[in-house]
Amino acid sequence: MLRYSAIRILLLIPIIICVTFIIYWLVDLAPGTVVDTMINEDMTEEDIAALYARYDLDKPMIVRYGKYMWGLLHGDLGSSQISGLTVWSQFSSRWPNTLWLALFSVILGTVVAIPLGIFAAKHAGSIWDNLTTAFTMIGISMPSFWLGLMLLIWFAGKLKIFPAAYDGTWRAFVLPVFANGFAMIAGICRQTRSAILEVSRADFLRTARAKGVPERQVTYRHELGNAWIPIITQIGALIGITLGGSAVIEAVYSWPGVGYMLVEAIQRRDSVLACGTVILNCIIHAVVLLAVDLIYAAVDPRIKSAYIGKKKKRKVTA
Amino acid sequence: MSKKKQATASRISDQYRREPRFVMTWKRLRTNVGAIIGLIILIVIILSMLYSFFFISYQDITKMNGKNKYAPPSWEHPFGTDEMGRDLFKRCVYGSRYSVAIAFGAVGFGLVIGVFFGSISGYFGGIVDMVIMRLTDIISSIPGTLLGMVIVTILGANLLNLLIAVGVSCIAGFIRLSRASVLTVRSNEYVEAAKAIGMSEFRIIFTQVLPNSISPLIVSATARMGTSVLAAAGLSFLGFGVAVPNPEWGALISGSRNHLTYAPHLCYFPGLCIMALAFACALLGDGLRDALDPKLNK
Amino acid sequence: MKKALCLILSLVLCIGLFAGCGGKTEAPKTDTPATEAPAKEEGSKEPVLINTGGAVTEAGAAETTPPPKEAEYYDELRMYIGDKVAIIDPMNPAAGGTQLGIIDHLAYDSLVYYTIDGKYEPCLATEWSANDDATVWTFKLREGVKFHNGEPFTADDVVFTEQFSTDKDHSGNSVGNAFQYVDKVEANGDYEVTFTLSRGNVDFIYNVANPCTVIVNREAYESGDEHAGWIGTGPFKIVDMVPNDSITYEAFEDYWGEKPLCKKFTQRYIAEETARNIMLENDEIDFCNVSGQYIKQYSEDPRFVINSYVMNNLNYVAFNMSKPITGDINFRLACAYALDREEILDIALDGYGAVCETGAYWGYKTAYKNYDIPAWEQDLDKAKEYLAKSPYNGEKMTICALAMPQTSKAAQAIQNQLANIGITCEIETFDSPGMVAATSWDANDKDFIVTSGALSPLGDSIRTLVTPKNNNNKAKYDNPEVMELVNKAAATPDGPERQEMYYKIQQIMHDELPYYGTFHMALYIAGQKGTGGTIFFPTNFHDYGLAYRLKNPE
Repeated sequence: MLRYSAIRILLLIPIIICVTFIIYWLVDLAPGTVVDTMINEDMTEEDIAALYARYDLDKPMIVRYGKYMWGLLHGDLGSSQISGLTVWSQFSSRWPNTLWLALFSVILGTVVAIPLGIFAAKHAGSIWDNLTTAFTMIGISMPSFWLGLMLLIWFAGKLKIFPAAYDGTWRAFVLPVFANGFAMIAGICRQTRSAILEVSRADFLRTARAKGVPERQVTYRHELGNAWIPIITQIGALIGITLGGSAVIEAVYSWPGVGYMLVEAIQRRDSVLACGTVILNCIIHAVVLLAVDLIYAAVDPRIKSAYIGKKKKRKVTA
Repeated sequence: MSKKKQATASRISDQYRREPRFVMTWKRLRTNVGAIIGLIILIVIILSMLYSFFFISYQDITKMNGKNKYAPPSWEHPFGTDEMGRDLFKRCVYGSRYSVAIAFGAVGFGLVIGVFFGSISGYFGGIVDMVIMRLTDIISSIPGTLLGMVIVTILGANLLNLLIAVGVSCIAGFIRLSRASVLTVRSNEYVEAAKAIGMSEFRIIFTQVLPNSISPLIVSATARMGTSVLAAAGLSFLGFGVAVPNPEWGALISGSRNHLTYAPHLCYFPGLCIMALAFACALLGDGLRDALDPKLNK
Repeated sequence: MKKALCLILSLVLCIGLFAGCGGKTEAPKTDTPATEAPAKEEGSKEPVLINTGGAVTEAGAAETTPPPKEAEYYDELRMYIGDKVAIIDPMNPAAGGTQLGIIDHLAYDSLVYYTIDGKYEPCLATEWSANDDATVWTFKLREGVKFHNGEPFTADDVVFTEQFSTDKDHSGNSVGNAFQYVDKVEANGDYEVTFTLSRGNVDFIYNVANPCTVIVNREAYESGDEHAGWIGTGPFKIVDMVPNDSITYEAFEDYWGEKPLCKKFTQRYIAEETARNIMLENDEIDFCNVSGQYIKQYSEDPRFVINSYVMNNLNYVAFNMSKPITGDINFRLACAYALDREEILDIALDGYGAVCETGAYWGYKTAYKNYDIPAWEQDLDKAKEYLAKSPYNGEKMTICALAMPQTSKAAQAIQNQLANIGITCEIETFDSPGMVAATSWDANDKDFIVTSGALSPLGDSIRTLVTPKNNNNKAKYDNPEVMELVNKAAATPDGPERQEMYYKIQQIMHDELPYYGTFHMALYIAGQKGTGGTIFFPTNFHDYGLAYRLKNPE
């Protein structure tokens, strides 16, 4: 399993190389340069030329990319061209905010959605099922930034229950977590419902019921136990996406996270910051997906045996 | 072969031919209330878009009235007026064209490119497959929002570019999906037969393999339409959308942000419009999935 | 059927919920009809300045009431800032003027203090003098001043600031601009410094007094400390900073001047305007820029004081002189007669600003403004007459606008007004680097450019707008006569001769019309009741050094 994980991580390297090239190239193609945001009325032509030279903007893009990759090879993510701070320090100071927001949103989504999904599946075809379906449909079709603004007007503006912007306290988390998590509730709930329905046709459930296992245990142990895989896949994918930061939610709640940092990097043509952030996001994303794969093995003995089976076979052949 | 014989043959085949798949799907879809509601909402939106083509001019949506700014909804202005005194209802109806164009255009763009590469990858396998799949991995590891923002910044803020920006981020999904379905179809006898009679490879892909692996694509594309509308609205909201004064719904919400506490209607209505369209696509996609699911045939 | 009912029911419920919300919020709205334009209400062209916290000075700035003695103050002041601050380092070109404007008066000092009345007062320098041809300037420095790192302030720091800021490796920083023509700088002992200029410059004192021209510490920079740029001599020292988010200051105990009245000062960038208004309402921030309808709301609310001033910058439409249609004077005149500045201001800023008062391009309070040049008045008949004479034949024109609320709204108003006389335009919006790239001298192929021009109180700030090959010259305006006058005026000392030159420039620019000035933006800063002690400069370099908030406002 360790070997498998190592290969998965190593496979990232070519992807990162290509991704950085694409981002670097695209930011370079965008009209304007990082220096254009610094120019003011008082600068002379020589000042501007010197600035261009300092950022190597007078050389072809490939030279700048080469320099950047050379640094990367030595483990240096570079420094933001705007603030001069290292990409790592900028990312690591903001990432916890994104991490907590993402985790709480996913926890909210999971805690609400799984019981709701089970409930809907148990009453499949009834009015409750349909209400749940309608609710989840609305959830996935509601723009999160719009929901965010609505919550902002109502719970921060009119009712004054929660703060309107990040202030470091737990209360600041409530609105963005809800705005972010609402669509997740919907997504996970749908996935849970269909996974349980799929399993519910299985013979072993009939056996379990026949031998007198209490219904509650049938649901949580036998049905859910066998329906975990698609649900975990869904949750894993959602964590992977939200850890990259939701730019719109961060914009609405003035949330100092990495999602909006990326927007700013693009707006100011800071290719180093943009590349660095994307690289770190890629790594985090890959780690999350790997973790999901490992969790599969933990929850599903069949998959676990597949891993172990492979190992044994290899040993035999060796 | 005589004419008579031919006629008999065709009559017999008529008798025994299964109903066309489209009809069958439609019959099943018809019984799904959710899908019908989705379809109705979608038709209403498309009709209002058509209405706007003929009855709402560019003048109507740009005409300002400084004396009637931020007016709440009334009979005269069903959605109220915006920060420049323009009628929000007309702007929302006019704006439907952007979101509908994105729903169909962006997904169509992604679908065409995705299916092309996906089916090639699945059909040929080997090195072609590997190269295409690695490229897909790369594209899908760039966050969609980022890619969208950069593309709009490079190409400029207009509908076509927004459409491309959103479309690019659905390519990877369609490549994977079509590859998977082609892989399942590839080894069927009719493909072997087509090969045996000497059909060209591309012809086989497009006349034999694709039509038989299209159901999951249709389902996915319909569901993707909803998410594309949301993605485009999100990009517009961040300022990477169509240029002013074109009333794209996401841009309308973005424009309302500074007036939320005294003119919240500027935010409510465009949001509801986006929701209605995405909701319709989601319902329809769900209904189509049920209707096309072979497991539910019984 | 049940299923259908359910779905419809839930849909209606959901929509009803939000529609219901809508209904409820609109109720109080009718009490304060937000529909009238405040500018029109007054029935005059005077800008709507609201100052419930103090008086507006002659220079167009707002100074709030000075602190009462023997009062109790809050220890912490929280302020919203309108710009993201990515980096605090006066020597870094990335820290542009707008960003430093937020920090400069708090953390740093200049040699000379430029007051809002346009006078020069001693700051780090106690006395100064120039020789007759304004080439040698001598400054006597204040003794006993300390930097935030504990180092004493000496002439050596001034020399270092000059040398470091004009060094090629740091070119483009906002400090070095002041020292552009300095040939030599010498320290005569610890507390006297002499600048020798390469050419006479009577405005040198203005450059030195510019809040951008801060004095930094040699030891801090030479130690290579990451936060060397944070060290100044100002009333507050910077203790923490989150890039693009917040800055935290503490009162500096060893400050040479009047000590700050609060112990801690925080500045936060909050992107969402609604969020910051909510925060102001909920007493989570003390000072906050407000705009649009909020201005009216807060000026009527006794819980807040509001201060305002008109910015010197001018929003304008530039006509691209190198294009055949916009290069035609008849076409430009047609546009000038078609536009209505009052309406543009009303659309762009809800009327909260000042329309351009003269027919020439000049800052709101820039020196030597010629008020005799009549402003362009809307006259559609004349506009159509001129349009008929122009080479315009129904072509689709492009308006290139900066993607900022005020400029993109102004562009829409202009598009609308030009449509009235039959000119059809399409708007393209760009973010700021995109705008620079699209409208640089070589690349500019747009017809109209709608943006905002930065202008200082000096007449010479017109220079970049008329210099050929300068990227700031959005109109691609090339008139050697104007250029010559600009150069001559810069070398002439203040007086009637200089005035005549600047008047002439304005007259030519009125006649040739490369730029059509639309409006000056006004800024409104709301504070909680009991706040004061702030000085708001039209240049946006506000002085919060003595800001306070009373615990028990009467």
